[in-house]
Amino acid sequence: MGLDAVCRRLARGAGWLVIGLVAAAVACGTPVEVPTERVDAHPLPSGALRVDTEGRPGGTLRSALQGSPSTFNFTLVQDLRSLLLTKLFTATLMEYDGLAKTVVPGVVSRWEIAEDARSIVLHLRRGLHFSDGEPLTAADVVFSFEKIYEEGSVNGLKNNLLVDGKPLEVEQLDEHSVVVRYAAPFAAMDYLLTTVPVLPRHRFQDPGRKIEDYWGLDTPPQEMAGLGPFVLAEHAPGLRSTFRHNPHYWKVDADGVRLPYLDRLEVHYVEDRNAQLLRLQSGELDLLLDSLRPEDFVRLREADNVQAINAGPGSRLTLCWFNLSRGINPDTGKPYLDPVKLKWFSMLPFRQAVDAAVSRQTIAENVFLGQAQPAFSLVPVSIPAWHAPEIRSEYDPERARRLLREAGFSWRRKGSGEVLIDAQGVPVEFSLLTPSESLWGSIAAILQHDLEELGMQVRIRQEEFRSVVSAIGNSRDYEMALLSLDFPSEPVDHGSVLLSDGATHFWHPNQSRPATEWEAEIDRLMRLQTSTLDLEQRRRLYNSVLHLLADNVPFIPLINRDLLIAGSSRVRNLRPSNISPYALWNVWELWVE
Amino acid sequence: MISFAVRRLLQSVPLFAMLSVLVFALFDLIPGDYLTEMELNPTVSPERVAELRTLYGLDEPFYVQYFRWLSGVLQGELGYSFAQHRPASELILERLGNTLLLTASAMLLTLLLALPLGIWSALRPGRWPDRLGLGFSILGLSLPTLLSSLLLLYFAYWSGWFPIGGFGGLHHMALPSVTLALPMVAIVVRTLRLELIDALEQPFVLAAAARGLPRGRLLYHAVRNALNPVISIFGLILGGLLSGSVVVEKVFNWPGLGALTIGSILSRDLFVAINCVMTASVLIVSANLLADLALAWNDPRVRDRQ
Amino acid sequence: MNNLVLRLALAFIVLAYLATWAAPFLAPYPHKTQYRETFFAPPQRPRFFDREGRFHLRPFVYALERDPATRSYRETDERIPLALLVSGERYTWMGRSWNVHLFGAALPERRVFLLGTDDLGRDLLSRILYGAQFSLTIGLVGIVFTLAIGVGLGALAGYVGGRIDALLMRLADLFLSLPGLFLVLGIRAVFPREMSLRELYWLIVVIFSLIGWAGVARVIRGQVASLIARPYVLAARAAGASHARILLRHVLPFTSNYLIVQGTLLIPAFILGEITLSFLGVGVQAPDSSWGVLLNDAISVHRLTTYPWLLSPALFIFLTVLAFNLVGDELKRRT
Repeated sequence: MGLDAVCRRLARGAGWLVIGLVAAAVACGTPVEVPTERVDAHPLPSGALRVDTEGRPGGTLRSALQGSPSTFNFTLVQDLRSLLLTKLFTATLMEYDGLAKTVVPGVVSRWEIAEDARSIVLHLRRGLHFSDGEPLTAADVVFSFEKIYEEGSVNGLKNNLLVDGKPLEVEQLDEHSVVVRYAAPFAAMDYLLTTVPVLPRHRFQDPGRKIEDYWGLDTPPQEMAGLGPFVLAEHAPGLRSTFRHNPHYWKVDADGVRLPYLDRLEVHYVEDRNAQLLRLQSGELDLLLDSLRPEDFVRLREADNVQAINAGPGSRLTLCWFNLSRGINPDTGKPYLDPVKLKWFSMLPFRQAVDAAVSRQTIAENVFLGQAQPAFSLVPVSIPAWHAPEIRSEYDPERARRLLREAGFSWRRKGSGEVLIDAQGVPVEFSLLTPSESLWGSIAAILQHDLEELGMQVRIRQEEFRSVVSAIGNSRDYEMALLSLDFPSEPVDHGSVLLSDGATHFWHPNQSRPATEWEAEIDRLMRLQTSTLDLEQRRRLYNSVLHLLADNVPFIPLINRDLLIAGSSRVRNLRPSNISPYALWNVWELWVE
Repeated sequence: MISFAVRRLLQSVPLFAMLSVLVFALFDLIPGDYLTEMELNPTVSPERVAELRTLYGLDEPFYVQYFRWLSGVLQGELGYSFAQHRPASELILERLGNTLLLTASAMLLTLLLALPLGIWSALRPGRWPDRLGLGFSILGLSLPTLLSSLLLLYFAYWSGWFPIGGFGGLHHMALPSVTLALPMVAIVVRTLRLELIDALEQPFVLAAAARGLPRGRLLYHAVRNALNPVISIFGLILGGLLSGSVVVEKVFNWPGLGALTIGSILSRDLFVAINCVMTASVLIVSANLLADLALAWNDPRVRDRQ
Repeated sequence: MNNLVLRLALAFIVLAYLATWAAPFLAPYPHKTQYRETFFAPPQRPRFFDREGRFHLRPFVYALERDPATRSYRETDERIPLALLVSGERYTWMGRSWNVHLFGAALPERRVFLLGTDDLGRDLLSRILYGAQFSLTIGLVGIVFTLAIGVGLGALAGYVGGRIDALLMRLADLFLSLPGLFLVLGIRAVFPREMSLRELYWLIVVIFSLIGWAGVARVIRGQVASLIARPYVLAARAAGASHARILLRHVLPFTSNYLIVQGTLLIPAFILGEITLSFLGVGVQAPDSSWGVLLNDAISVHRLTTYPWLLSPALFIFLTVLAFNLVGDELKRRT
């Protein structure tokens, strides 16, 4: 046989094999599912909650999440993804309306707060059953608290459900009501109870097992039960979780039809954004649960089979700040920060000048393609109850220069530009620490460019996320930082950031004594507003806190990203909230055509 | 041959020991641990973080953690995933199969494409098959996997012939295998071509040709001679594939080892990370052993030396 | 190989390095300057004929106008002539301050972006030119070191055999097993957050060699082990040739095929590997650019379909790799 012939034959054979493989691959399709009519087998509870909504029961919604959950146990949830999923089958005592941003009835149908703000009586909805058919009684609620507070348990709720450092006391009044007592007056009693799950007592009876030992990712679904709209049907690690509707769910629509409308809800774990988008556009997926990248949103808005919804600025605030940590790092024996730089950063006019020199509009427009709002304070406009619209800081480089000049800084010509120098003639230069993703690089470049106009030399240091967080929280080995932080929509949760001894008081954490007068004042106001019941009074107190922050600029708020949700146009009742769980906050109302 | 393989595996035991110490030491070195991110979450109390740190043993020096892990391994316990609250062995096992599957198909594809293409280019240097091979190789090499996988993903969307990522039958495997095979085909074609051109000019081939050996036989001898570095490269590639490809797994949503390894390192999920690295190491050592055995089989001179 | 192709390839490489050296002069704008009002501007095509079909001796581009509602650009009727050696922003080059750029818009207050701009309105052509300073230099130094270490240790292992061979190869296995990202993360942690540019360059070279040497050493070892058993090597040894002579004259030249392939192969690998380094805070940091970083920024479905010009760095990477491959092949043929 000739040489060429051998090769040609080899090549041809390989070619055909590849073609064959491809053809075989194409031929294997996925079978089409046939929808079935739903029969409501169980009587509706007498106390069913009527939701003003309409839709058609049945159908499957295929959604995607960017990563896998870490647990199905509500008391261990620490991340958004696990929260999103566990909330599907676990109900809390009270619920939080994602659009109105208020506490609304859930398993508890009504409640009475005592005038001394130290106790609350909860009345449970009548006739409720867990998803496995067992009836709900007040004993389940008492049990849930007991299990959370159990000696030696390391669940995540235990430390959060403390008021004045002491656990809540719960007592059963009758079959359907309990009283919860607080150790001290507490402002957001009802809000706190939106984080307490109602656990089915009969599922947690193994002696010696703590609550955190139940319901991991490998627990067989039939061992779980809850009061949420769905039940877990299957969990394929790293691939998808499938949920079936809860036949005992206790919400009905305007026509008295039992919710949720959906028969099945699939959550696919698709890490790659591009794959998510293409699958949505090709119809393989119906809903993306994570907020979109701005460029994708802008593009999807024009697609015809997709609805792209801007749910308004979310509670995640992008901000930058200077390290204000004084004192000596006990690990290295050196000051946390170069004293010269600490002196600059500690000068209020210096921080005010930076605040006036950054162009928030450019960040919102260029980096987020307009899908973000300039931020001037902690609370975005989308949480009107606590937002302070009067706090604004205009982009004003002239004012920035004036502030610096009055504070003793001056400028020296160098090359084609200018260099800012302090009263001692030291050129002002510092580094800006931020995570690695190119989004951060772009924002940092804008800040650098703006500050260069003031003559400040900024070096950008981009590092992997955890290294950045560790530098901010532990070693405090940084000068200026750029990051985003999540601020929950209720100010009682802002304590650990705003109180001077807070662990996430990021510009100067864990102070033994307030380092400045205004920090002491914020401590006082925050403590006061946490124990005040009158909402107007609380608003005034919190507003004063926001003004103190705006006056003293310990950090510079930059923008709030808009929450961008995309779903197929088949999905109905899609009204995403800008706070978690975003598109799923009204999951019982969703249905597909 | 068997004694050689056994000796090699025994030689690797100190390697594994060293590697495990190194991984723990590196983990001690790099800033932050699994709970660092939680520390920045205003809704998680610092007491909670401290409690978990004690529970996970992260407050102890790394040698204590190391010996605890080691004694666990000797009893068949590989440790726990902080992120998923599951044994690390479970996490790795459920992904190992997927990685092996993808590796096998990518390897098959590479063999089927690269060997004929390499031989063909060598026989016609400078002519169009050669040009084609060259163009294809350079494209394969200079397209970053990130881009080529995105393009193939888009192709799947545009044509509708393939699912857009996911895990399942052959049709799910096709595009990730092609993406993985692309740069490897390039490497093998380039190397084989150069080696074969050399081999065909060697005296023994010329002599054999002069004696009138059939061209098929001739080619067989030349190819065997040219195969040495190619086999070593295959060993390397196989090792690399077996430890998983992060990008391809991520883009095509293929639950394999690579994404787990990198994800666990970035999230500082200590025990998953160390066991992933150790698993990868075992696979890489086996792949190289396989390559060395193949080398010995192909080249008696190497065999004699061993 | 066709001589013309080879010349073209060589010319490209020489030009590329010249361009790298003269980047500040060739780039119409500094690579960090943000023209924020013209962000994501598409490339402007130089023309000789205007819309009415009239010929202009001096090439020109049409000015762009941005529609804020759709966030897209369209060409207006205004012609911006191009000129050589225009004065623009100041830069430092060869120790002096200059303001002359090779080309630019002939009208003041007008700008021309031949390859478009990025999200902050930075000229992509300038960023590619400046990016080459990193991608075309460090990568090459890294390759030389990687190959040197790999060949040295691989040849030693293959030649000496026995314990040293086993030891070196297990060491190679160790480095092959450690994910590169993990290794870099560890190395990064040892060094202080702030490093001088020179320290950083050497650190990058060291990291590249640490990650790359093991693969090279394994292959070289395999080849050397086979080569030294060949009759002519045995003959040379019998004739009393020294070890060094045997290795250098009779063994290593035969590994050149692999080294050429591997060398050209490592170019794209290092250009793109730089992305990981940047991610971990060792490589190029914003707002500086490198080809890897530029390319990485472009990779998303909707960016590629909306702003396809962001992909142009891929073309430069492709051309570079092609040129080096062609030259490598030719080098091989001549020896």
